[in-house]
Amino acid sequence: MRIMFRNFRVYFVIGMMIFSGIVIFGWHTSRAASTATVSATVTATNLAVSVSDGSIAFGSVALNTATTTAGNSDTQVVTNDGSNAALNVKSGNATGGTTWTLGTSPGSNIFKLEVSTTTGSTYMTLQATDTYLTASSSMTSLLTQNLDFRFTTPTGSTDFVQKSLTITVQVTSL
Amino acid sequence: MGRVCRKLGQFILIWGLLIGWIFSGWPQIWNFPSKVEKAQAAVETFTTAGTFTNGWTAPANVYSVTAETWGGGGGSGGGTSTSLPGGSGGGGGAYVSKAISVIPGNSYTYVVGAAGLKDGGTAGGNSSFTGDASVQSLACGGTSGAINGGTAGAGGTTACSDGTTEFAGGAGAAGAGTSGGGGGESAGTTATGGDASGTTGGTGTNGTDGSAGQLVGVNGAAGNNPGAGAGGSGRRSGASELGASGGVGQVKLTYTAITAALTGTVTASITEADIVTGGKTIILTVTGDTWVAAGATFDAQRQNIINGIDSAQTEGTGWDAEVKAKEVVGAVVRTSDTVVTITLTAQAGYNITATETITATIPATALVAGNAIVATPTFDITAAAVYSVFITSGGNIAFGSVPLNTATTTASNGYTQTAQNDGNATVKFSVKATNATDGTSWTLDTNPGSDIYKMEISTTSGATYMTLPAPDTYLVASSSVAVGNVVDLDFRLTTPSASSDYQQKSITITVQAVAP
Repeated sequence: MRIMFRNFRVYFVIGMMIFSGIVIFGWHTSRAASTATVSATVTATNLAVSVSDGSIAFGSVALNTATTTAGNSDTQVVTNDGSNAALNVKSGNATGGTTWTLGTSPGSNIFKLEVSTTTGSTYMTLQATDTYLTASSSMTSLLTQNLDFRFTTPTGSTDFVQKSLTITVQVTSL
Repeated sequence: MGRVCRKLGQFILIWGLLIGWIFSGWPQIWNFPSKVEKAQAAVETFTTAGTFTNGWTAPANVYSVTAETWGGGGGSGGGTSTSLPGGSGGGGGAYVSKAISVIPGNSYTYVVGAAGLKDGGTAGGNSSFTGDASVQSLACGGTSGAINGGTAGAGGTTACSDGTTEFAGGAGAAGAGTSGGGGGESAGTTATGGDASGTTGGTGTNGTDGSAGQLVGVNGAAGNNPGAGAGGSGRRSGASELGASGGVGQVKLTYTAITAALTGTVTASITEADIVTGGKTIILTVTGDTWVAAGATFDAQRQNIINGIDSAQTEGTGWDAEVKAKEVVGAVVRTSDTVVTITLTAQAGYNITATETITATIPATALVAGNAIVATPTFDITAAAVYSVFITSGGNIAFGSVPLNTATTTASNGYTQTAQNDGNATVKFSVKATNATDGTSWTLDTNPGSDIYKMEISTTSGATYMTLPAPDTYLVASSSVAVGNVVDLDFRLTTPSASSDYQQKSITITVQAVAP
């Protein structure tokens, strides 16, 4: 009985505290907070490109003859490692012995180089030495693009040593 | 010892809670008696002879005045003969009392009767007060006594007067032998004025005693104010003895303003929640008037009483719409002839955004005298604090394409956001932002990193910035924004140093208004 009475007193005190809290504070509540939102968007940009495997061997080609990577397993795979971008390509002259100059039509010591993004179905001709040609106007971020190159040897050559040329792939902002 | 301390602590706690309960106002278990004020009558007395057109203006809340008037006293005769008696006394002025209706703010004319002239001259003037509809309180003056023991002055008569309570003035006495006759007493407020007898002035009531008749060789004695007759002079001895003027009349106005006091628990800083809960009381106590009779007569006025309790504001869910329109007549109780208690019923729909001021106007039909009265004071109901923020600038930011590890800010791209405090209380604005989603998420942090972006906030148009510390963690942008004020918020975002993808990211920025 003594324990019951003690428990009653404890419950009474706790009850009174809760009740008084409601009385004192509960009836004076306010609409405590309000929020509003702002929606923001942002897109990171980064220009990065890589090529695999980065090496083409056209082999021995007769004068004034075209040869393409589309048929010799040297198709180059370009990866856009950054944000959406335009893909550009340029080429230097072919060096080694007497230089072959890049031109839009083959000639004496003049070679022609074309690029294709359609596995050889269509080609675009590089216009001049070290002058970029837009191969793709919108290359999606983190995706790859196959590039094939068609090389046409000069109509005449001062020598017949192996020639080397450097093809540069570039991505630029849209 | 511990047991004693524990018991003492419990005792203090329980009594503390009980006292807190009592004074918290709900539920009310302690009803302090309302203060009831007695009506205080005002009295104005005018004693300067003359006609004062619109000379008195009824004060506020005064609808009735008791006008008491005393006519002027008659003058007395002189002694011009060495063989005839002294002069005769003048008569006293009459007294009239009458309750007259007036309108607060209106002006009314009163006349204070002049003293009657000596030697059988002009009688004492009539005194009057004229209220609405030309209703008047008019007391006539006494006539003046003649010289040498001629006709004594007569008291002002009730026949001449106009009032509810009327008493005639006392008559003067004729001069006799070598002496003058006494003047008549002015009428009292409860009885006719006493007549003079021989040289003795009239007396015996609560009027003004008449002046005594004078002995040979002495001029007459002027009548006293208000309205007493003058005493006649004695017989001439040498030069003629002069009579004297009577007393000047008087106008006395007594009135009580009808007022109503508003008391009850509504006057104790109540809030919107109190109306929702109900139980607060409005006590209307009138002075100078009484409520109409209990029973059917009063019951018929309960709705009118409710209708008379009106808010100065017009919120759609405010007093007029939720209380005045919905209160039940049973809430109105006639506690006594002068007190009505209204216990407000709970009104769940009561919801206000700004403080309401309530005025109780007691309708004329609810009071016996039939004059509407505005109870004082008014009382206010405080709206619950509403903390609210509104983005007035559209709420969209397009940072656009930003290189990696590069900061860009709205302070320079036209996307400054404006946050307005559109609540009813001063607030503080805090801001938080989420991670940037879509594709691989960018995490918000204090420094950019791989897939980690940084967000800063400025309230100074980009002069200074504060860095948001973590995703969905509020940062106080402005610690005190008054109601209606705006704060311009600029955001500076720094892109990650590296990103797993280059998709457009979405960020939700939340602006929060809370109590400062």
